[in-house]
Amino acid sequence: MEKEKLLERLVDEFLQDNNEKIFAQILSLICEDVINLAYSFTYNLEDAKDIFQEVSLKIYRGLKKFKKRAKVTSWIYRITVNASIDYLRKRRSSSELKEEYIKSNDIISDIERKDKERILKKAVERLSPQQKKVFILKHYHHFKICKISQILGCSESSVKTHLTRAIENLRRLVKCV
Amino acid sequence: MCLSKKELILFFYKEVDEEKLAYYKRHLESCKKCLMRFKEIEKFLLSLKKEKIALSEEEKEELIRNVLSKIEVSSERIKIFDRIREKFIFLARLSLAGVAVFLCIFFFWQAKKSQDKEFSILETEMILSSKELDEITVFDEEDLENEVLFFASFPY
Repeated sequence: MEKEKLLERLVDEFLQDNNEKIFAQILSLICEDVINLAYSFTYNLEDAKDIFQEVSLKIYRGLKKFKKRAKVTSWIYRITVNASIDYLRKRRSSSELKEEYIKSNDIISDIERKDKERILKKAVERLSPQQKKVFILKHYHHFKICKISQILGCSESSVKTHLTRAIENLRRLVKCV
Repeated sequence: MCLSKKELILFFYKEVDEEKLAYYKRHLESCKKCLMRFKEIEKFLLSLKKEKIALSEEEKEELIRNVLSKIEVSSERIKIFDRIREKFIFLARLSLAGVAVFLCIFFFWQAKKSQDKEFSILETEMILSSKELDEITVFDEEDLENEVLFFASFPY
């Protein structure tokens, strides 16, 4: 909560002064959260760092037009979630990981190797974008459902439904392998 | 009545109000079936762990430095683009003013031209009609007299 207030204050100062030092302070404050959130989607630290850079640039450009309709943190998390999903989409379209995630044989071989964590990661990857977003924000980042609805711009009941379906799908995916 | 999957999941995350929380707790104490289902969900969700990324101060600083340098480059580009855009806008305004002046002169010239043309036509017509008056012949005078007699032959 303190962090959120500090962030709001820094954003106000930045909007008045447009000072790079203040922006650096903002980045320092959100750096770990953004990287952790991006990492939850990509499972790759370098990718998460790339996403952080992209998100930072978007924040820099967007802050000047930011009208404070939503909370700054919700806005930043929304940018991060969307940037992560876009990043995954681009990566997948480059077919680098396409086969790795789609082939069920791969999952079976993982079971044989009893690499449970890896299977779960892949199961998360197989969720729909909205289910993935909701699950990651709730389960890995412990956001309240009302906050998730703010970040994703949907209703709380929709978040609850996506969360339930995501967990059902994850259980099914893990069971079937 | 047994709890739904959704209710069990929301109970796991403590995303229900106090009243419901107490109700679900009581229900799970009394219903073995629901308790078993809840334990399964709980076990599954607890198994989904994720390591938290902790960055060193140096890593953070490097990342932020990179971002700031990118911002600097992009703002330089934006400045150049703005300068080009300003020049373009100035040139566009200048050419628009030029076109407007040209159109004004053109329309004025056209109007004057058509006025001169009308005057010259009127002048020619005037010359022609004065010539016609001068060239009235004897036959024309006879025709005129006949016409006068013809009209005079009527009783009134």
